[in-house]
Amino acid sequence: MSGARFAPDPARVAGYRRRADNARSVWRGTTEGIAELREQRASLERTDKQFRQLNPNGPGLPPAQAAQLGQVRDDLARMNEDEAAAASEATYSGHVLASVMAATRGETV
Amino acid sequence: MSIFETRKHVEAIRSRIEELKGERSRVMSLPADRATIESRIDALIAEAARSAPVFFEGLFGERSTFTAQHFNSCVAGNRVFSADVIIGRLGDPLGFLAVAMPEALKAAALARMPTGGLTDEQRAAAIAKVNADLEREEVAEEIALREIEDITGGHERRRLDARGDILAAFDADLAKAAGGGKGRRGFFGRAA
Repeated sequence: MSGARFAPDPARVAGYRRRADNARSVWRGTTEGIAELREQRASLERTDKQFRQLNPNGPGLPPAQAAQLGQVRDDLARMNEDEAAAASEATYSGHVLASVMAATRGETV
Repeated sequence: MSIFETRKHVEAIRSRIEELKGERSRVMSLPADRATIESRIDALIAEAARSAPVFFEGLFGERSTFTAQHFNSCVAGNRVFSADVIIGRLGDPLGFLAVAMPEALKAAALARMPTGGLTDEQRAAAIAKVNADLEREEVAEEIALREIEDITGGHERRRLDARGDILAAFDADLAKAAGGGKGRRGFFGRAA
């Protein structure tokens, strides 16, 4: 580790900060979206279970709700992939920002 | 230089950066030079001799209770460490060797020491050279990445171990460090 040699360009520092903030925001959005979809899925699955208890030989959810459950499951699978990518980006941009901020304090890491 | 070529250029720079970091680790882990090792051994022996002097306590009383036979029986019985009354602080083997045979101890210690090491000055100079080469490569990498970003309007991923001050530096400072002084285009004009 040695001292920072180059003076920081405030516009660049702001750019790295903005990028890290955005990445964190996107990540938070995906985790919130996942939580919401999980609630929807749980609710629809509970309803499906109730239908099956009332009519053991029946198909379960009515067609519209069954389609909705399928859609929610697909969305959840996609959202999980998005969340992994968002987490990776947030980690990367946070790490780079930490290096940049250390440089503004006269350090290099 | 096309974006494709610039990206290849960045990859080549990153390979050199890895090599230089490896070289820096190698230099940092090289052993000390022979003279430094020798002076460290001298200091160790001197310290050991000071801290554990041979002290035959039984000899200075009104009547000596110390005999060589007694001493030898203690050693033979492997009771050196509990024989303080008779042989004082001889219970420290390194101290004993440092007093009794410092030259032999030094020669034995030196015999197994590595050769081809560096003095502090040589190591500092070698590390300074690697660091200067490393900085030149890191500056060239950052300039190339900014050039790509200018063209694509996107973000090029930085190395996670990139220097923060280079990532945040003014264009002009990087160009100056790269020896250009004309901004990014001037640098690529030469690099192409």
